Amino acid sequence: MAVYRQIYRGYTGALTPAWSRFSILYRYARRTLFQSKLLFGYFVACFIIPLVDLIVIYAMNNPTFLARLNIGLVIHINRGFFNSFLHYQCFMAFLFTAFAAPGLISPDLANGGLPLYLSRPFSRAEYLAGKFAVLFVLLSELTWIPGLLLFAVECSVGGAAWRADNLWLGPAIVAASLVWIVVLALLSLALSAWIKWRVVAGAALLGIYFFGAGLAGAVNAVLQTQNGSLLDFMELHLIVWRGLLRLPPPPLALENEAWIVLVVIAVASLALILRKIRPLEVVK
Amino acid sequence: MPSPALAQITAVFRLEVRKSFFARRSLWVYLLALAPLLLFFGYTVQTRMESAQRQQLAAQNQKPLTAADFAAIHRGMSEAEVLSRLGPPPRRITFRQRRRDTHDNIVVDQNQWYRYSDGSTDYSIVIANGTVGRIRSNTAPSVNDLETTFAGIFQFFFLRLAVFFGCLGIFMNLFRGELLDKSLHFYFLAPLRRSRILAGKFLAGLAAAITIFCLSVALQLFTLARLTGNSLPHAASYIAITALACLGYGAVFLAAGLLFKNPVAPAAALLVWESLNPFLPALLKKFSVIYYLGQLSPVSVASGPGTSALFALLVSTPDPISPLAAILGLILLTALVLAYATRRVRTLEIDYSSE
Repeated sequence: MAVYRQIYRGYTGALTPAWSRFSILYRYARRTLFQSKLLFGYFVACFIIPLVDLIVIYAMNNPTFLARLNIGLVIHINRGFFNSFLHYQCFMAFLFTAFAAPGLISPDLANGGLPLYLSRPFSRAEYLAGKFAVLFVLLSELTWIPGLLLFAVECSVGGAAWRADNLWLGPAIVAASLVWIVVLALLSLALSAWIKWRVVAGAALLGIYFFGAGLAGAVNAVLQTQNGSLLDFMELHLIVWRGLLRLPPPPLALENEAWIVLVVIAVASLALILRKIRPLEVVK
Repeated sequence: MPSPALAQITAVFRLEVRKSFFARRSLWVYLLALAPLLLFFGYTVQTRMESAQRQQLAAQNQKPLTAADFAAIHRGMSEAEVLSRLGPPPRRITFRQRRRDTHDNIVVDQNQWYRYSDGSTDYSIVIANGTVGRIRSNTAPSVNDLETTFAGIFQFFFLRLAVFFGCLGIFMNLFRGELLDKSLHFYFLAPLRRSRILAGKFLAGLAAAITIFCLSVALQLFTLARLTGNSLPHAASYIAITALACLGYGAVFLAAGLLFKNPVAPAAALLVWESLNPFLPALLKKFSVIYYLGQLSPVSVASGPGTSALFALLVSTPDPISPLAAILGLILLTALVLAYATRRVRTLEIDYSSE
């Protein structure tokens, strides 16, 4: 007879289908992120630009409204307008990522939590998909979803002629945003995986953005070139977006180079993440 | 025999200075200091290569050309006219340029790029559709050009980004790093006043920051001096400004590391504030570190490289203040911030679980 008898029952409840298990991580990570009132407040503040743009679209399509307010300013709602919207909105989304992303993977690695995930019927790919989904959904909510909403409003109030000329702009806004989201999410997850302290990972992401932009400006000014722009994370995207949004191409044909740099960043980040996310840790 | 206070501060300084220089977490600071040095090294190599190229091109001209010959070339001239005046170019490159036509289609234009030189200046003439589209001349940089280039990079890249992020890494590590490593309680359990711990740590961080960044400036100036054959003027001023920048930013980031659990948020806010400084009204400019550093700068550069014409219009130039007032202003700002940090560290409670 056993001295101490321990009785347990196996879990008999419904199992989450294998295809959607990654969404569990997404659900909990999103809830944890928004426990910070500051971060939630900033997330809400990110919708100021779409709101202002919505008002601009409404005003520019209502000449009587403008005339009544005696406003002579004319802003053309065209590809340039949506390019500016994406530029500013993606900057806001970047700052949000700098505070949200470092806490996604680094605490699991720092506190030895990864074996707890991976000892369950949960693969590395699902873990990564779950973490990626957090950023993907949140950044989508900040970029292409409001972008499409603005586009839809302009389509409805801009008239049939505008719609016929600019129908391609909707998919272009989504494509431009997706490029930004995928590269940024992979880069920030890689930093989160490799830098143990979330504070340092956040600072590193800000450093890549601001220091890279400064270095690009310095290289262009000193070496009298435009290739320095390839060191600027935002400028890389602006170059790529010019093609997607059918804006005049840059003076130098940097579009191909910008695509190559973005693909290299994304692939290198993915490789770094996969190298770090393993169900074992060698302690020296 | 040193006083006990000085001995304690020195003991903390000795422990911390090693960490500030060699901590793995701070190694990237060296990369920040190295970046402008590599940039100017690249510039030196490029300038030397261009100079050799100019001589080579001038030797390959079919006839001797002077600056007056090139002054006669203007936009809209036909390709034949250019060739009759200057002769066939020593170097001719065909390149394709893309543009968007009125129907949104990408059109690829086949352009010619003619390169000539009169020995001292390199002339690039772009022939588009059989006529001169663009003319660019490139002369070897003078000492004045170098001075302006260096001043721009120093103010808008080195101080605002390299020193800024470097000090962020060094000074936030002093307390926040100890909290992350769960080792701050060792200091707090030792029989010494917390204000002395703060003084020792700050001095260690300052010593590391000043050594790394002042050495970087000295090497940048040395690299440019090798290019011109003469040392650039105001070298001592640039080194002193760098030291003051380390002092100002160091104090601010040390205090931020004590005040905020995530010091990246105030750092981002400060970065935006400092970047906006050229566009702020005169009164608001005074509430920043970069304002005082800019006042001390021997060469005034209003807007940074790459600033668009629209933003350049928004740049406001404040009334100049004397260098002494600028130094005192910065020291006063540092003293106030350090006094507040000292007050804060006295009541600091350690909670490792919240990190």
